[in-house]
Amino acid sequence: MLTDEAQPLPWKADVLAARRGDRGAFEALVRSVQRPVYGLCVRLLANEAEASEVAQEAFLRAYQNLDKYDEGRPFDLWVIAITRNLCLDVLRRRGRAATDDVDEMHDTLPSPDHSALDRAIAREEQRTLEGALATLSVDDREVIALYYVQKRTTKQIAEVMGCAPGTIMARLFRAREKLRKQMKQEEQS
Amino acid sequence: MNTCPELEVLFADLAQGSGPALDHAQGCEVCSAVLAEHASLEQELFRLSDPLPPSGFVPSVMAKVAIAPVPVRRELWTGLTVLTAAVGALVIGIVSRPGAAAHFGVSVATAARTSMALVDGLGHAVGPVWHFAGLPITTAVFVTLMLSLFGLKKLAGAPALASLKVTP
Repeated sequence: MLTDEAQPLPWKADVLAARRGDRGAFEALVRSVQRPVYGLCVRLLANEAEASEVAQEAFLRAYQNLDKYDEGRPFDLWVIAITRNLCLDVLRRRGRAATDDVDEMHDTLPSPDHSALDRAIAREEQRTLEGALATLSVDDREVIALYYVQKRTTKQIAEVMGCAPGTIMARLFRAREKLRKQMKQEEQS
Repeated sequence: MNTCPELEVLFADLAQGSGPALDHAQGCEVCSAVLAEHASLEQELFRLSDPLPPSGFVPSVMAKVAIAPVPVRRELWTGLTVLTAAVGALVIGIVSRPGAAAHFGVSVATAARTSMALVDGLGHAVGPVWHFAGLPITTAVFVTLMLSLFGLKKLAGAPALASLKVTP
């Protein structure tokens, strides 16, 4: 299980500089959190082009609202919360929560196995897992992406989603159970 | 008869580290298998990682940031800083030169007196002008005001937020 640790505030200097109008500092902030932001968009929207647009928009909103950001809180979580809201807006506009046009996510990193065969097997397993993951609802994909992929704590996820950490634990369990059943089904078929 | 606990209860016990459901699972093949499957699935899930953003992602963000209007509060702070610096420089200039304070006071008093005379004169002048050309003046002022407001709105209205194309 992931633990809550007292984290340093590496973004603080950049945030303060960006507030004074230093675009270089803001660029450094974008570079530091671009991957989780884009990753969450891809998992929620299941469309790479749209994910890129929404992720860019999230950063733009972060820039325009830097004065409202409390620098005592993690910057990445703040941007992730903005991103999540934007994604949910897009999904609401789409009028459907579960997507079926899932782009293949070819940039997922291979696991640190040693042989080529191991890597190939791991890649295949990951593809199966990604496929099963894509069949879940947005709510389920969201908690799984934040907890397992981005390695956030339940407390952090609760902060992003605005609910109690206990709720996140329950949602994680339910999402994992659905995933387990889905993968079992795929294995049998 | 199936005495296995609900999975949710079992996992609640697992999260707590102990409980009757977990005790049951230790002696139950079915529950142990479910727990093992979840553990294995968790391991696989932890190995997933976020996809990399497309190349040119950061420059695209920064291009949008470059055309975005400057946040209002930052402009206010800049304005206040400039104002404070100007007032500070004026005060320092007055204090540092001998006799400058007296000269400054006389200048302010003279300016106030001149301004009062100007306001008085304008008051006398506006009356007849308003009597003969009230409507054209009102119209001109209204049109100027509206054009200025429209121009300001165009300047301040951010294209960035509205430019998001979120639908495929």
